[in-house]
Amino acid sequence: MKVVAIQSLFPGAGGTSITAHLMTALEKSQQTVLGIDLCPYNDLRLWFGMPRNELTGWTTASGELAQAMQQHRQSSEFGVSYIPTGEAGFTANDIVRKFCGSDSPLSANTFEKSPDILLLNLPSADAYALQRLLPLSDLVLQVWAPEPRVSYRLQQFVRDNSFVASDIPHSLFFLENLQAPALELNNDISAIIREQLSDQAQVPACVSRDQHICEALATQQTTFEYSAGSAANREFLTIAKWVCNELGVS
Amino acid sequence: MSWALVKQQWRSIRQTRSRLQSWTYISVLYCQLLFFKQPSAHTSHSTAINWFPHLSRQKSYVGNALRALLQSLYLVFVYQPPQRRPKPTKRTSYWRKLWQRLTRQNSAEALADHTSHSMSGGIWWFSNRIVIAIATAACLFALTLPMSAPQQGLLLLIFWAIALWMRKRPGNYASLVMMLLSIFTSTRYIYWRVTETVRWDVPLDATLGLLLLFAELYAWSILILGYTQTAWPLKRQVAKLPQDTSQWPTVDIYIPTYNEPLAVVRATVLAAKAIEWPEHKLNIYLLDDGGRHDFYSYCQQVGVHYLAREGNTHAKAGNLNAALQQTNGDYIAIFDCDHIPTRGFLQLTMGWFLQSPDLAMLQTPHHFFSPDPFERNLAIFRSRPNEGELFYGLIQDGNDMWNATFFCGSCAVIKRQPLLEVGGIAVETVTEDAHTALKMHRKGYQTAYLNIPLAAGLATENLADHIGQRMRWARGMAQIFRLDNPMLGKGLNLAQRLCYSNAMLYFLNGLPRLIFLMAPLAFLLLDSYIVFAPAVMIAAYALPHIIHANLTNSRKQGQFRHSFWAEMYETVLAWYIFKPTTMALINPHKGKFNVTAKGQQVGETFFDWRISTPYLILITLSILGFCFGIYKLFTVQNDDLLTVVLNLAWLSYNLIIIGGAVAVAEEAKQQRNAHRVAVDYPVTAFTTGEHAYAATLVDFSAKGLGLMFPGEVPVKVGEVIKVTLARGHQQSTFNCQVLSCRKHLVGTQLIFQDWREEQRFIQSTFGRIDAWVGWRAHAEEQPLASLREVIGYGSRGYRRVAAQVAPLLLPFFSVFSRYSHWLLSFLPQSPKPRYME
Repeated sequence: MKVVAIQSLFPGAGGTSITAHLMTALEKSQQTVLGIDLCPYNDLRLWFGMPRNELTGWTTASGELAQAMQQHRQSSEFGVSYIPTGEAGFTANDIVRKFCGSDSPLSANTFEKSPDILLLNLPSADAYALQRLLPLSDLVLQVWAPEPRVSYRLQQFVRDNSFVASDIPHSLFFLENLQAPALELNNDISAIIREQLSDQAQVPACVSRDQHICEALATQQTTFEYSAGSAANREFLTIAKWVCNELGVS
Repeated sequence: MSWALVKQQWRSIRQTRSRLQSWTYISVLYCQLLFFKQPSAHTSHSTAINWFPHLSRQKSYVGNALRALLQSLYLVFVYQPPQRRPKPTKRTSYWRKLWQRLTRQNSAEALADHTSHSMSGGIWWFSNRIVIAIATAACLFALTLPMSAPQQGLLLLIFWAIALWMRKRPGNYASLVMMLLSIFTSTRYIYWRVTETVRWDVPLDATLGLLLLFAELYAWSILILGYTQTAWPLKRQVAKLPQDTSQWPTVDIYIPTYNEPLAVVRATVLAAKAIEWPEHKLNIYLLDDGGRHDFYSYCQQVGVHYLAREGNTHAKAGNLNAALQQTNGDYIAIFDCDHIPTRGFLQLTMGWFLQSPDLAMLQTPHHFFSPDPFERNLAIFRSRPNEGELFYGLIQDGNDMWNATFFCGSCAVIKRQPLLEVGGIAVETVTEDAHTALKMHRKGYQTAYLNIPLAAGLATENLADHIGQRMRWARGMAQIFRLDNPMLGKGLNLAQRLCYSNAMLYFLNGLPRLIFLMAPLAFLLLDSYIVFAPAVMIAAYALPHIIHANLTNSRKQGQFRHSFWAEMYETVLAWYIFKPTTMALINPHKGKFNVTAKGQQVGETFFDWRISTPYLILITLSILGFCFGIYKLFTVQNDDLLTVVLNLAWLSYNLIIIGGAVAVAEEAKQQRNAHRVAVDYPVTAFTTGEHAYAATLVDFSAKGLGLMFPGEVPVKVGEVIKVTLARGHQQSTFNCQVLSCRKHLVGTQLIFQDWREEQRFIQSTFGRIDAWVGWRAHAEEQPLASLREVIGYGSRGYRRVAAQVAPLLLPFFSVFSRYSHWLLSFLPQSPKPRYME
């Protein structure tokens, strides 16, 4: 079982939507996937049709982590497995601590049906979460969007995660979301940030700003189900292919 | 395989077919299954091979038994499966040394080597000469040995078997063996023709016979020179530039123009500006010989230098020379004003200059993204090699081996110093490019050829312009032949002399081609024995010559020019280049530079009577000769029967070739002045509602894009959408107005805000570094298939003429075409992968 952790560089960069779509794209690439939401906003479930008023999740369950995971494992209408966070009033740190506090939270034995790839949706801009989960992950995707604040957030990220400044871990990659080449400011910011980031630390694909994604969320499904022609589908499939390649799974 | 299964299959097949058809079907099926199919073919669809491709295409099964029999015989006795070709070879020092030994005997260097040789070196030199002398004597003996018809026939069979065996062997050595066989049989034929077949006692026969002999001697010379030129193509790779860009030299880019519209020149200027090279080391000059104000304004706007001069003496050469005086870059890259360079042009070419200080010029191919008249009028664009592919695909690579690469006027880099040493671009002839390279070679400089298309332009728009351009080339080459003959003068080695001579002599093919086209008429119309020998002897000597020349050329050139197409290309030009070359040989100082028109339109399909008149006369004469030939078949005495048959066969072939030439004279409609380039790039289309759609860019031009959507088209006519094209890691978005929606296809017109946006578009399309790589799938050439094609185009030519002059005859052509196809369907075909069907 390979572990992929996905985190937004700042709230709204799109880490959760990337997680949901990547899960679907990996499923379409013949991988069995399980997504675990570690974000206190508990939004991952919304992409897979879970009723909005259903607030249970693995953090709301008592007892062993494995049992809680098993108990709250859901499957979307299109066959994607996920485990929502649930809304029990925990902070991001509490959730991560709860998840990592277990003796072996990420072993294949944790799950009754062990997936090929486990995707973790980390809390946005949370240095503690990254610090705890980076060693446990085979791949970490830091999602950023070309907005004016990205430069500051990137500096903050480096400050908070001092290990990055000296030597970027081989498993850490930056993924650009909401790219809009038609918008001048967006395009310029994108070019500047890409220039600042090392080529080796960037995912060689990006996700465009696409109204299909918003509309898909409004109807509680991913773009794969919402619109066959959406450019996002092709982009997520490309990223999924790259992820498989990086993880060494075929 | 059980008998019950066979019976079940038989019953199933019999439900829809007659007994004979069923028997044929099941025989072929099991024949394929048991004998021909490889195990992998059963599992992988992509590797499955259809050994009887023409059977599956025949709706009617009448005759399929015969087709299957002929194909089986072909597969067993003739067909050789393709073999994996070895990796491209590097220039071997062995070949260079060998050739230098053979060609530098009189040079000072060779003399110095010789005097410093030890005694053992002297013995080696002496023994080498002895071996060469013995081999030459043996060859001369074999070439001149008289043989009877059966003996000559036996020789043909042995040589043919060797050639067929060697034909599919990988590597250049097999090619060399085939060339030697071809040279041997052709030289034997020519020796026999010269010594035994001219009838001197009858003046008419002697005159016509000598004319034919002259044409054959010419063809023989060109054949041997061509083999020499392409004996070992170099296939040069890219040389790396140093990492430190401060070591990169300064480059001036010249874009000469005279009367072309700004719309054509604009893309070239913008692409030149986008070439990736240190900005302070790159200067772009638009050399406007038309002195146009709008060009000046445009240069001011986009920030390139504008140079104009008083008058336009010496046309393009004078224009370039004038610029040479006003600029000072170390190197000069020249692009015709319609040749759009890719952004990597300099980075991929300049490395060789830094590695070889003696290198004076590096040429890259002239690639055309619009169809030439042959491609457009015969509808073969990108499906068959075009006329220029032989030169840029093989001949220039062959020249490069001998350090004899020609400058072709555009898409090349020249070092300033050597160019100044030869007095700038040559102005004495109208082919200033080849002449300049010749002068630099005479000074001892090297030239190189990099066979990667790094720029692309517009082909000639119609046949008249095409012929006009070739007439200029022919006249220029003939001028160089007279004024600066490569076989004479100092500075060239033997190989360079031969390569240049071949290039120049090739353009003198007008008269020989016309002689070949009319030769059979001498016997059929005038009863003249222009080859005074028994028909069986003619066949015994001529057939090996023709067969080996075709087999060898098919192997060497097939990828770049299919068999029998050279005859068609040359026939179209023969009449028109005959006069200028003859005049240039008589008076080489006469003749002026004519500019090739680019970016024109052809409003309506029309038949160009003016161009085709000489060929219509030839057709009339040939048909007359054919009628006489048929009459002679029934009246001639037995001795001459085979002669009549041979002449009729020759005449029929000529009629096919001339028909093909006439077919090109019908100009197909061409209304776009911005040519669309078919591609297959993934793009993203953004609608006004900010929905992003995955689309495929199926074609682009300087003015518009063609998009294909996987599902229902999400846009409407008139809507302005944004299309994002990738350029490396960067993405650029362009506004496009939707002009048409058809099923999944959308046609759009680009709306550029300013020239910078247009430049980004050029960078993302025409200027992509891989824009022209893999332009056409290189399928293996099949001579029989080429023959079928050429026959088809010949027939099309007659149909087009009939449509103009006698529409009532069209039904006859339909019937004729149908039966011809039926007859041709019996010819064996090479097996094809099933995915190609």
